Amino acid sequence: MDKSMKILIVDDFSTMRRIIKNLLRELGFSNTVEADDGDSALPLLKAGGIDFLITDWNMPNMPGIELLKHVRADPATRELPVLMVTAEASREQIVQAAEAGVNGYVIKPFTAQTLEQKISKIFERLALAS
Amino acid sequence: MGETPQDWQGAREELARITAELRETLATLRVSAQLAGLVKTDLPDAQTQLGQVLELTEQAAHDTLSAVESSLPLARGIGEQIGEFRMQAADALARDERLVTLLGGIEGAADAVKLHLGEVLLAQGFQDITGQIIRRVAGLVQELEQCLSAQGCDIDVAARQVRRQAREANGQGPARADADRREVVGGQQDVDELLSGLGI
Repeated sequence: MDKSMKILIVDDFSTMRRIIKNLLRELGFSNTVEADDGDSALPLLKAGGIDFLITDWNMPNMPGIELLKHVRADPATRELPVLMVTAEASREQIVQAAEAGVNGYVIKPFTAQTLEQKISKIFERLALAS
Repeated sequence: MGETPQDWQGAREELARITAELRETLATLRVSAQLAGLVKTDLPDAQTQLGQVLELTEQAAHDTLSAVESSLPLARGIGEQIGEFRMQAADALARDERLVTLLGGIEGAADAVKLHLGEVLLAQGFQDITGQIIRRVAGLVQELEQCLSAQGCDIDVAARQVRRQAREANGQGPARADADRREVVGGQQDVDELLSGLGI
């Protein structure tokens, strides 16, 4: 796993973006950018250079599930690993995220250990697949 | 012609009916006046206050995060300086066991501080969870206000509309333990099992 990879954090709560950014820094990932919903995340993704996307679900304008669908529909970002970090807890929604092609799902409130495990698992699986 | 007992009976019944109607009308008027107050001041006030809670908790969480961000590098720095000290003062440490114990104590404390700072950092996630709940309640208050200001308001219809909008829009936010009729997972382990069953 490349610790210098560029990670986009999408959440409408600035406190949560800040928490995730700090946790990532503690895990050795310092190259992060932020967006407050799917609408503002898309231009950043289209501009290229993002290696990993961490997104919330419940956001105004474009929610995380729509953002995920956009990412999977665009040939440029189709392979981008996506981790959802959200308070959405219904089984139906988790299945919906899986069907839309999410790589991991972390439920809020979460621990630093959970975040680390999920990120490691995503990149281990990607390494195995390639 | 004299009045018969039947006439008296009829008049009494009529009077009782009018009294009942009047009582009902007065009650409705009182309710209308209360509703008017609710729509005009109480509900907008409630929304403003919910907004204030959002702002205050967000600011407090950011202040805490600023303090944590300033402290984490300091705790890390202490650990690094101890490493440096061990190299520079290797001779002294080899001579005096007490220095080794002292240094080990400082190092352990620095590690514990770092760990607790991480816990403080994560605990600020409360602002996101409570914020989503407050927004949901503020949305309901707004719907109620609009419904009550409109003619022929049907609270049931309005409530259904709020629920449908929540479903269709941007997700539903944190699960409510008692009130939730959705099939919700109990925690990360349930999510992992569910996704594992789906090959993720």
